[in-house]
Amino acid sequence: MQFLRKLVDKQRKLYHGEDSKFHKIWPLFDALETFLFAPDFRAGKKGVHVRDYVDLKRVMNSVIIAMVPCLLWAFWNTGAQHFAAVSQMITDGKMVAGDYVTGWLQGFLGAPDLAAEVTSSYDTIVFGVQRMLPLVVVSYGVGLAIEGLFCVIRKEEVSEGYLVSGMLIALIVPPSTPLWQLAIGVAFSVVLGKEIFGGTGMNIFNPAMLVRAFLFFAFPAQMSGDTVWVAGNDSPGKIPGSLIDGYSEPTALAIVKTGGEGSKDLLAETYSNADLFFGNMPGSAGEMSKMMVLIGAAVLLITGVGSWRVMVAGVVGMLAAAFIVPIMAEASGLPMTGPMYLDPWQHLICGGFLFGIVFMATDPVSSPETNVGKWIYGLLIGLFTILVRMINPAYPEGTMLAILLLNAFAPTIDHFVAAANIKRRLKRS
Amino acid sequence: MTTHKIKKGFDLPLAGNAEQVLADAQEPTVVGLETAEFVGIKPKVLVKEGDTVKTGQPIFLNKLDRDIVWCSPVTGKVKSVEFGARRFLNRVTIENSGKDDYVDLPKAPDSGDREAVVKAVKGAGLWPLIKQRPIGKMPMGDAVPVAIFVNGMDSAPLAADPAFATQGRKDDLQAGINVLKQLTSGNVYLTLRAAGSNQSDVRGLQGVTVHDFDGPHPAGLVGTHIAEIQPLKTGEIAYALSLVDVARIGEWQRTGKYPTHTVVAVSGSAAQDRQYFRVRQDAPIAAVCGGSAPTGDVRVINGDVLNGYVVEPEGYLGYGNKTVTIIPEGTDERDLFGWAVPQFGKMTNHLSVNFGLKKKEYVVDARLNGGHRPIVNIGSWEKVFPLDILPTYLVRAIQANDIEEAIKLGLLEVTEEDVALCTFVDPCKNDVGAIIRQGLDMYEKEA
Repeated sequence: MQFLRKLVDKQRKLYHGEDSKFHKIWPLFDALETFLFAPDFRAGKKGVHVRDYVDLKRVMNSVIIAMVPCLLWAFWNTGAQHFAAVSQMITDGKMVAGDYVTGWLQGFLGAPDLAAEVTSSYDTIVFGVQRMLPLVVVSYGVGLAIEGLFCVIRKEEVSEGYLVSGMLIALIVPPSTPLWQLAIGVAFSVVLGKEIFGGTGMNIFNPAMLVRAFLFFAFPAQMSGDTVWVAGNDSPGKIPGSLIDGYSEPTALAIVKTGGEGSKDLLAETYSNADLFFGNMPGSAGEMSKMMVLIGAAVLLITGVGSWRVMVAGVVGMLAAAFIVPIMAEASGLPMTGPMYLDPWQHLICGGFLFGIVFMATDPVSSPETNVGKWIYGLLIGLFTILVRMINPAYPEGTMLAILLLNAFAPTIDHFVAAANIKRRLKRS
Repeated sequence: MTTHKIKKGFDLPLAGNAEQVLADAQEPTVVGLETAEFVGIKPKVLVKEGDTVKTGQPIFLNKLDRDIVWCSPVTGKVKSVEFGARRFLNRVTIENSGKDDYVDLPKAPDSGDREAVVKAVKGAGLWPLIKQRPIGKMPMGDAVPVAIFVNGMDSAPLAADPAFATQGRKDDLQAGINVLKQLTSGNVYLTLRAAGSNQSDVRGLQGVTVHDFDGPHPAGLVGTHIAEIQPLKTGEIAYALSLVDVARIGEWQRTGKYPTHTVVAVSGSAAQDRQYFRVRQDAPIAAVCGGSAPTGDVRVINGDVLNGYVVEPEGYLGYGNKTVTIIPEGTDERDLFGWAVPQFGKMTNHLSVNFGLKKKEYVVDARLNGGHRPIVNIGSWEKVFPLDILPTYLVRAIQANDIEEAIKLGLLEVTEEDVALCTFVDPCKNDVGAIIRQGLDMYEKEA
């Protein structure tokens, strides 16, 4: 410990002195240094002389810990879905076992045994790691590089915000997303969505959600439809290489979207409620298992980092909307769509709403700051998610659009809450 | 009597409470009258080095209102007159001859003539004990307060209990109240801790309206009391002072002599004798620390850990100070992976640090425990802030230099002490109090 401290102190001189050799890049050294040792700052001469032990690193770290169950499930399920798809294609005669192309990690650790009746856990996890790890690495690498660059230019300490965004991004894109697209999306989001507003604490939209929205509209072929939710291995000459050629598997919401009156039964044929809850289905990398999301939610609530108001309001808003919208549609003679036939609670276990409301909507920067505002914000996210799911003819899922829309309106919501506060004050005098 | 229950807030579980024992401190050989405590005054010194001054003789005045003077708490020879940058008076030190030769200070008339009472209090050197709300500084100008709030409790961590410090001084208190009553057009409120101890004297005072407060800090701050009892309307002002100050005003009113002594509690984990001392105003810190200045890596605070200023260990107690807190400074102590590992031995209001496993008392030093960041609001401020004000919104309005909006959002209802807990809990280590003061300064400049 002492050794490490001495080493850091020695290096410190190279970066922190005004005319030291590497003074220009001190924010990068500082990020590393404060990762190891808490900074040597003490309270000013006037005012408050003792401080809470919490800091932004710990706050962000709590969120990352909350996401770990989802990440672990992504490692597992990406592999599980992959091998389920491969064996289905072999059974259907669309693929020969010998044509299987191994990926970088499989090439290293050995090809999977496709002849086995049940794919081994080892093969499953190897594939999951092989697919997910590059997503995480690219997301963090590109994002942190840009953040670091901006901090050097601005001469300020590197903020911890991106540590959460980077992980979120890897969890909310389809596992088949090409890495170069992900890199472009991350660069777009960090530069135009965050840094031009002033960096951490200043952005209007949730940076991770912005990446997804960018990819969604810029590369719709790789971000939506029935073929992207199961990842394959890159095979040269096939574009897009990361998909399993010719394999399609619609998500639960896509089934429901086109299902019409019998959508509920149609859904039950493909996925049981247990499948939906435990995440035994294809989807975006990290949001499938509602159980893992709930574990994460518990971590956020216990540590007090995520707002329980937003979470409760979101779930209540969604359930209420899912209950009322079909009734109103029927009463007013609007055409009934598939999602309207689901039980309201089933909307919670389909799609990414739960992940969105737990991890994305609770982002303290892009959500309203006032407690009343948080209730309104959460309720409206629930409502708009259901409106997109039930009434929009094109998109099966509305969580992303609802959260981004409400991010945009968060300052407005706060404004009205503040106006009410001002009005109360004026009334008194 | 009304009891107000404050729900939001946080009592910092700090080690080092002052024991409720009152002793006479050693008489100092020298006292130091300092100007640092009084932000915004323009001092003009009235004595020179070598002069012999009597107890109660004016030493310096405020050029913005020449009636406001600061008096010598001892009889003796002026040892030094120290100036800072631009010849701003910093400090006057006076040797203590050991025998008080009092200047006769005219008492306040009992006629209800407000102006005469004001002039008498100013002339006795006791006006700076009073703080004005809004702003939180010494009252200037002719505005008549709509109420006076006498604070008989202090919920700040390790702070002196005014009820204990004034025990047995019922006559002084009553005389003080009688003076204050003539200063306001409205009520004199006395705020006390609900079911507190040492209150047998104060509960019997005449001419005050008693309000009880219960709950965690900031239940004992005057900002909280005003918001609960009688919120100020636009343009209204109120006076605020502690029960200890009232006793001093009363002592002068009864005797016609300058009240030379005050009661100071010494607390904090790094303090030696943690108890109450009856000590001469402006005495050196050493006078309440067993005769020698505190040594080692310590921080000596005039005031409490949430609202006070650092003094050198060789410094002086100050004029209106009621608590001296001594805590470890924590120089160059840096925790390895402090942000990542659960910390059960650290004081916090966040479950992410200790998972709710609390100790009864914590020894805490002056470290920030993190780097400065832009405001990322995870609701920490709101949890400890009981007033009907949106703290982050207010701070952002000040940061945007929008004073009009800040006033609408309640800027004038708070001072730095009211938002001190927000500073304490903030994961982004912002000094919320400094921002509030910056807003109040802008308001003063514009007004």
